[in-house]
Amino acid sequence: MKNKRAKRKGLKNDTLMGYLFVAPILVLMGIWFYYPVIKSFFYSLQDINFLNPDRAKFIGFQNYVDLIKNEDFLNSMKTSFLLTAVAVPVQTVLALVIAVLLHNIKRFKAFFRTLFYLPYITSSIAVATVFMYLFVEKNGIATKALAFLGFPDTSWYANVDLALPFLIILTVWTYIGFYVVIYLAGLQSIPKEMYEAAVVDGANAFQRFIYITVPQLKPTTFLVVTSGMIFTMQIFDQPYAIARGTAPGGPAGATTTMIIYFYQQAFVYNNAGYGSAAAFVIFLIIITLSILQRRIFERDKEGIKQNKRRFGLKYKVKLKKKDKGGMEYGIEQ
Amino acid sequence: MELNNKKNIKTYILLGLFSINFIVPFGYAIYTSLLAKADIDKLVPISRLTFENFVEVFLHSDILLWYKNSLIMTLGILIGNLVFNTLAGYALAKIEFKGKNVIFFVIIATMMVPYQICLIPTYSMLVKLGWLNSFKGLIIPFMFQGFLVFLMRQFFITIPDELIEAAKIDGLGAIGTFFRIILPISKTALATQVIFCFTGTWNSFMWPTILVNDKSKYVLTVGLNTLKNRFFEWPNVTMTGVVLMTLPIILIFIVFQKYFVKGIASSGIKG
Repeated sequence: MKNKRAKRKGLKNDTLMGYLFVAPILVLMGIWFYYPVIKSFFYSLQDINFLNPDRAKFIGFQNYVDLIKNEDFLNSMKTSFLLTAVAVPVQTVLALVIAVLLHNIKRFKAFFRTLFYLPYITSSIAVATVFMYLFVEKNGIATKALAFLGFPDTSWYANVDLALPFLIILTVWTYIGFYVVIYLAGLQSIPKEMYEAAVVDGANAFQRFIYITVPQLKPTTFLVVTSGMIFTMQIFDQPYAIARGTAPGGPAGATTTMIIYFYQQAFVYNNAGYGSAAAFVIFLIIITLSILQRRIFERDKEGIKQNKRRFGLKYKVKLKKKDKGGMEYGIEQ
Repeated sequence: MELNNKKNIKTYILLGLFSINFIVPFGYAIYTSLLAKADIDKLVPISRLTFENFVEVFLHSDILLWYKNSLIMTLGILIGNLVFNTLAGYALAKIEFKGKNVIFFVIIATMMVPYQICLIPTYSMLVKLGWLNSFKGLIIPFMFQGFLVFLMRQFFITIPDELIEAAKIDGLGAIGTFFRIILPISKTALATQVIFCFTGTWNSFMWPTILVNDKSKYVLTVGLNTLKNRFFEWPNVTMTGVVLMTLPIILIFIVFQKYFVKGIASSGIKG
């Protein structure tokens, strides 16, 4: 009886302490996150302008209907999708290759890792500024180098056809180091014994990469692709910076991403309602893509097994749990 | 052995090729910032390099003010995050209380929603509060981050329960345990928070652009963007701005680097 009461008292005490510790952040999140999110949804159902908010009118889902019919918005969607569809695969593959190379060396490892990581922690405005000079007409180092490959000698960021490729290069360069570091962490968790077993079985470096590294890194790749996509879909600073103080998104809308479109509607034209609707549509697109990706990655698990069979890979490396909790790596023929 | 060496050389050559793409932009920025006006876009010997652009930028732009503003904004947000994320992360990992799972979800859910959704209402709230062009508006809405709460929780979970129980037996309450036992062994996790939070805030651009139009409240990113637009024809000046903006962050990174790599490994980011 006594014991029980003491126990209950202890629990009560803990509950109070628990609330005390989480209360400050819950209050902040309530005011600066949950309240704005809900309010934003209500805005999106209204015809409301920042300049005269008193004239707000409830219009149901009209903003959303207008949005998906609006050619400018559809174009900004196309731009964002194109940017993501090119930048994410490129940066994922490159990051994986760089990480594997780095994983295998001892000397200068920290130097290379820091070098590749620096762009990620450098201000996007600073990086965009440097890249504008590298891709400026006549004197830009990159412009000159690429002119050898047949690209025109022009300022890439101001050229309708080349502004988006420029943005893609800028994006990949900025974020790749982050993914290299994540892949490096993932590589450390692959047991060495797996590679040793594969070597014994006569697998060459390329086979080891395809049949061990890539499948083992699958959770990491899922993370890299998903967060890469979320980052890229929300890009704002870079297209804003390369506009050089004119209306962002140029030239001729070539770099108007969805977020830039949202920014223009909300903070240039003061359309709080329409802008909020745009924000929600962007959110829905991102969530949908994330879920789709999850599905694809899960289905792919099966695919890799089939691939292995198809290519007649003789060995299968398998984890066996031992009684004492230790792991043993066995090879099955 | 020989084979191994050959393979190694190949690896280094490949890495070298990749790194050219990273050295050139940084090298260009540093080199150009040291050029006199007459030498722009030319290759000159080291003896002709000069620091006059740095003097120029310090004398003829508001860069000291931008530094000050960036520093105030970053420190404010950093301190808020350290306090609130750490407290919440600890409670979620080590304190048993009713409704914990729901609260965990409420905190983590903030990670899934892109911040842009909050921008318009937050902006109008700040207008009503009269917080436009003020540090309050730049700092207070950003004093927490769901991701960093999660990171702290993942770290605190690894601390053995026995340690906390021992502190209890020794007569320490939950608060005493937290400050005297837990915090001193949490330096790595706190340093990781510092890096994530410092780099994110120091480089933030969208919110300061929207919120601030008063030049006396410009932060470095916004200031540098105006510098670039004004002096685009003089890369030596803009690159000086770039170098000055980037130096502090690189220093912070080098000092805290080992914590950062540990942090990524321990936060479970690796999946």
